[in-house]
Amino acid sequence: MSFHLKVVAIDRLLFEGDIDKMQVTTTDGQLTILPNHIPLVSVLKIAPLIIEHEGEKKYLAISGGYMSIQRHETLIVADIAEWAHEIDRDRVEEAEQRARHAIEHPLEYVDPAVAEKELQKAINRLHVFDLYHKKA
Amino acid sequence: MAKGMKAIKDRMSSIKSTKKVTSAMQLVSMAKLQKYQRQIIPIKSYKNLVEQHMQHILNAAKNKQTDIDVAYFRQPKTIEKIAYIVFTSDVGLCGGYNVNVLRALREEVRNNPEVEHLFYFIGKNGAEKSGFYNLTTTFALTGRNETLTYEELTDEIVMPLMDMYAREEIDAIKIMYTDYKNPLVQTPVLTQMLPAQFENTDTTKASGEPVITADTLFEPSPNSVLTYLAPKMISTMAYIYLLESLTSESASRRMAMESANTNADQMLDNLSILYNRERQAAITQEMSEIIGGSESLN
Repeated sequence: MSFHLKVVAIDRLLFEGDIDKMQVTTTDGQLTILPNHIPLVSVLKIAPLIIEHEGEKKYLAISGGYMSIQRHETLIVADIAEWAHEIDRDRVEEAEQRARHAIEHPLEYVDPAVAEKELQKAINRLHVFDLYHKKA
Repeated sequence: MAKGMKAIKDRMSSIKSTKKVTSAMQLVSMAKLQKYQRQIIPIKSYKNLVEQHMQHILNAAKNKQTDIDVAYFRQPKTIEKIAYIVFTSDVGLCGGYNVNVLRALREEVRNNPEVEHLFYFIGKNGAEKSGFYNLTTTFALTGRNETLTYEELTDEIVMPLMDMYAREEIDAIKIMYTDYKNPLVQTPVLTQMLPAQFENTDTTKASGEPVITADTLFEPSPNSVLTYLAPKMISTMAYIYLLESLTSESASRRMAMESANTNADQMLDNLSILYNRERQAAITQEMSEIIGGSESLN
């Protein structure tokens, strides 16, 4: 059994094809989606997306978005999405440091909520990077 | 006579160097035009998807008899204050591009004198020239047209405006952009973003089967999904309009530069005829002087 998934971000189509299962994180918590899932529309958190097809796992870093599961097609519309192999660990670590610094040393013109979000994004990317490389 | 010839020569060389600049600019704007057109394609399909889903979710939410209580979808009873996002160019030499936009806005203000208008200009030219068209600039984002990203546009312009709309500080948001029809025709278009206008029909795909069925679950709730989707939708549209405007700007500049080139060629042609005539006249005169001189010796 498999189902059809499409992952789009603002600038590109990341994935389109049949998969066996996937793991997403919605605002309500982590979900594993299998074929024939009940129709569901949900908002996604900054979290990894793990797609599995014929035993092969693929990892994506999703920075927020929404998901719509319908009978024939599942669609994920992401704000920003990257494949694990596209992540540059050094740059992400730098971004993490920057975000932490901004949170610890608040400046007037930096919105703490924005810094917090940047930090979450960086942590998520690192997480996805590690998941991918541990497996590979 | 030699003096007149020198003046013509100087003029020709100055026209030639101007022509070098305009033909370089023509090539650059042609390349940019193609770049923006390529960029716009994936975003358009993204927008179509989001739009389609938004429509279905709205309908599904209605079918479930839930009250849609999303601040972005409030329908104001009277419209007293309208915010306009206006896309203009940062640099000049692009023909009627900015003028057409500003003229259309002036027309809009004239037609609705009882409403308060707030203008948010993107691009230096709009903000600078707005005074000539009796438009007051509320906010201007200048010098960043070509590097403006989707996130920046969203965070600095679209979201603040949408929040103002949600807080009932403004009653409508409209976008003024230049629609790229073809390389020769670009028209300024004013479109309304909020209050949203939804078509109430067509929950089905071409196959006749609803894309989102009535038993769809919403997590955590239809309202929170819609609150997330609405700004996304508007930001995407705004970004598409930005790209569309940049495409039009390049096309308009290409056209302006092309006619500048043709004019330069024409002027060079005329001047070289004039120059040749002057040169011939000088020779003829010198010859008659020599002949006259030798005749007087005899």
